[in-house]
Formats: sequence, structure tokens, C-alpha cells
Amino acid sequence: MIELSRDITFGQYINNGSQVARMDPRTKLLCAILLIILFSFLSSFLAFLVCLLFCALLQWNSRIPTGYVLRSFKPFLGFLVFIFCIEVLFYTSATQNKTLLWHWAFLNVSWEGIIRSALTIVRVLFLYYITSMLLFATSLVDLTDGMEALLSPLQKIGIPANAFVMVLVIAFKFVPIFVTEVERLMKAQAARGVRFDQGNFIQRTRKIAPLLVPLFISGFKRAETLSVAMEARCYGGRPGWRRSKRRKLSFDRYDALALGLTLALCVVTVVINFVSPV
Amino acid sequence: MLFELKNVSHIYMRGTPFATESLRGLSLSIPQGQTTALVGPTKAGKSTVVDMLAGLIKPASGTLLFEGDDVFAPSFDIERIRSSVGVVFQSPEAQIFEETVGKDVSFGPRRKKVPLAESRRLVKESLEAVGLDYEDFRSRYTYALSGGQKRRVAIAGVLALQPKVIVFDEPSAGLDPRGRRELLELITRLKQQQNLSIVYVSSGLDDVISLADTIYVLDRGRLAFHGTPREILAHADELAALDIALPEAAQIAVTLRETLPNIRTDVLNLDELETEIVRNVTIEAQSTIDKAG
Repeated sequence: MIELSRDITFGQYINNGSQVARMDPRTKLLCAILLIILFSFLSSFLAFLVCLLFCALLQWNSRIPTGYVLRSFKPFLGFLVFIFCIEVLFYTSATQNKTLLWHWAFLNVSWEGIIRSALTIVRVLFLYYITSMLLFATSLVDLTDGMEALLSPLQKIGIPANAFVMVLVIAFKFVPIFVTEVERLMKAQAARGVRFDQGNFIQRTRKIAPLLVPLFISGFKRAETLSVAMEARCYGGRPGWRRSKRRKLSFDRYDALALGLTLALCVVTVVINFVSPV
Repeated sequence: MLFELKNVSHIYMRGTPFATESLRGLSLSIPQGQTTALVGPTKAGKSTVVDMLAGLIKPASGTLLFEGDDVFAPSFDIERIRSSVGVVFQSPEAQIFEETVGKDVSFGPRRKKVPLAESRRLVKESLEAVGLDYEDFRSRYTYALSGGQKRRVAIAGVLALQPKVIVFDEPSAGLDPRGRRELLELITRLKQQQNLSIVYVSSGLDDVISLADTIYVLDRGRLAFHGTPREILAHADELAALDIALPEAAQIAVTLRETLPNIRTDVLNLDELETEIVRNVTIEAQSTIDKAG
């Protein structure tokens, strides 16, 4: 049946008042950036195991149902499997000390290839987890404030960081709106005899295509309304104007703890990474 | 019975932190050839019922019978419900997705692979049934239509499917008084001419009091009470508690209760109100005379 919004969960803020949700957005962003760098750098399963513990702690503290978070992984699992297979088959080692398990023409399956590719998949999963966690636990207002605060040095040297942040935030905001819109259009078509749940992949895709034109039109309409609304509230830079903030961001004990833990995790895992390379 | 809902419950976004319960054990029946109204404040679950009647969503628990058959039984062909139930959704813009009026109205017949001549006839008849000129409107762009016209085109698109039932989800929202009157006349006419069953969903009683045979009042996913329009109006205080706006005549009667405590609130129109006021004033005058005498 038609309930798209149930499957598309990426980036929906869950306001459950947990400590993670109430954290200072600057700290949250900093931690997220640190973790993203860390996950991209690590190349040891043991280190990732420690990260897993950290994520479990984060998950528990955020009070977001684990099943819900895990379900958001589902849509792209197939894609990951595909990537994994390609990586394994085309793996070429720099040092050439491969233990070949299977070989045909230019395709190889080697033990190192499997380990390397598995590591990549684990890395992607962790990266996905941490970004979706950031979005689950941060409201859009918080996210904007945090990003603006972190990017304010750029503003001083003449890069319009605030405008970039606004663009990003609007893009995020429109995702659930578009999902609802598609749902509405699908319902309207289903009520007039279109069956979205029938047919093979190509037939289904062809049924989606007619949704695009009305979707774009409503998207443009919304954009227009939004720009008028922003203009009406004097958004935009005029010389000498500065946007003030109603809410002051505050860095308190929990933030310090979170940042400290993240840094500790970085140090520990990097050390593990050097000590045990796999 | 056309539709029967038995103890139906539904939760939106089940299994997510956003889960909201929209129906909790609702039972109601919609008879053939009549106008049934579903009335309730926001979050009463009206739109959920609409989606269910259109066969678009499946209830989490409970059964939905269509002409006596369980809709969600594996043997039931959902096509049957889709071809006999037409839905005019809450905002007509949502329903129109083709560029021109002609293409949009003919969408249903084309889907069903109706022959071209037949489809053209259906489009012509449907457009004329809603009071739009076929030659004038069929090549017009849907985005350039006015709100009232869009609503008519949406209804025409549904009529072209030749349904047995049409479900209207708050069709008069956002229309001016004249547009509303015209729409209600149109619905009454369609019902008589095409022998349709009508399900009319509304947040206020204004539209449905003259239109409906039976009114179901919903509240937070449950049935509050039901009956004929007159029986519903007798519940004036409960309706006020649910934030459901009374029709003009009944509202005046409720206000007059301060001076005429025995006045009945189940007046359908201003004429009935007049009779009721005259009756009460006469009784009041009589009792004053009796006391004095």
C-alpha cells in the first residue's frame, strides 16, 4: 500500500528531548565531523569494534528506537552488496602479495580483496550511521545555528557562509515535503486506476515518470512562495545589516563530556589502528 | 450494504517514532444509493477512512467489507474497489496531474483501455455533468484554472471512471459561498441523475445537513454518534464540545436557549427555526398570562 513516508526516514528530526537532542549543535557538528574523519581514516576491524561500542552508547543515549535506525539502512543494502562484489573482483594490491582464491581472466578473488572490501563496507555503514544520527537528533534550526557558528570565520573573509547554510537547510527541509507530495500524487493516480505495486521493474519505473512534472511544478511554486515569504521578512544582506539570534548557544557539561569522549575515541582507535593494522 | 467497517484501527508510520494512531476501533456502514456524511474535527480520522474506502491503505486491524466481501482477503481483487469507488481528494490540485483538462479527465478511461470514441464520449459527458463546456475546456491547461474550476475538473476526472460511489473529502473547503452552493447543487444533481452513492467528508455540519441521509460523527478515531441530520442536531452540546460548527439555523437556536430555554436545536433550516421560535414565544407568552391571571 502507499505509505512512502514510512520507508524514507533519512534526515527526519525526532524530537524526544534526549540529552543528545538537547546538545549544543556546535558540539554535535564538531563531534560528527571528527567521527567522519576518523571513520574515513581507520583501517582496522578492531578499531571499528571500539567505534561500535561508542555508537551503541550514542544509540542508547539518544533514546531513538534501534530498529527504526537500522531500517533506514535497508534501502541501500543491495547497492552495498553490489559495490562489495565489484571491489572484490577488481581488487589489485599495491604490494602484490595476494593469496588468490579464485581467478578468471582479469577477475580475481583474493583474501586481501575480501578484507579490504569488507572494511570499505563497514566504513560506509559507520559514516551513514553517524550522519543520519546527526540529522535524527538535531532540529533544522539547531543545525543552521551550529553551522553558521562554525562557519562564521569564513563570513569575515567575505565568503557568504550564511547563504550556503541556508541553501543546505532548505534542501533538507524540502525532502519530507516532497515525499508527502509524491504520496499525494500517487494516491490521486492510484484512485484513478494506476497500480504502483504491480509489474516488473521497468513497468514500475514508467509509472513513476508521470509524477515528475507535477512534482517539479509544485516544487517551483513552493520555492516561489518561500522566496516571497523570506523577502517579506527582510531576509538577505544589505550593507550594515546583521541577522541577530534569539537563542544563545551554550556549551555545558554534557557537551564537554561528549566532545571529550569523541576525542578519546579518536586517540584510542588511531593507536589501535597503528598497533594492529587489520 | 456497500461498505462496512468493523472495529477498524489504523496507525500511520507504524514502527517509527512518528507513529500516530488515526483510527481506534471504528465501526460504521455505508448503504447503497444514499448520501453518507462523515463529520469530525481535525485528527478524527476522516481522511484515513477515505483512503481505506478507496482501497489505498490497509487497516492495521479490523475488517473492511465491500458489498459483503472482505477487501483485504487474498481472494479479493482490489481492482473491483478501485473501479467502483471514485475519490475527490481534499485539495483538487493534488488530483490533477496532466497538462490539459481533456488529458486529465480521460486519464481513467485511457488506463482502462476504453476505445477512443467511447473515451471521448465519457470525457464530454463528465465535463458537461460538472457544468464545463467540452469544446472550450478540453484543451485548456490545468495549471491555469481557477480553484472552483479545478474542483470541477477533478470531479469530472472521477466521473469519467463511471464509479458507483464517489467519496468527497472536504470538497467545499476554501470555496466562496457561491462556489460552495454550486458544488452542493452539483453533488445533489449527480446523485439523482447518475444514481450514485455519495460519501461526503466534512469538518462542519453546514454542508451535510441538507445533503446527507445519515451522518456519522467521528472523534479521535472513534464513532461519537450517528443518525439522521435531525437526530445529530439534537446533540448540539456534544457537537460544541467536539468543536464541530453547527449550521446557521441550529446555531441561532442554541444561542436563543438563554431566553427560550425549551427551544429545540434540531432545526434544519431557517423556516423550521422560525416555526420553533414562534411556538416557544407563544408558550412563553401563554405562561406569563397564566401567571398574571
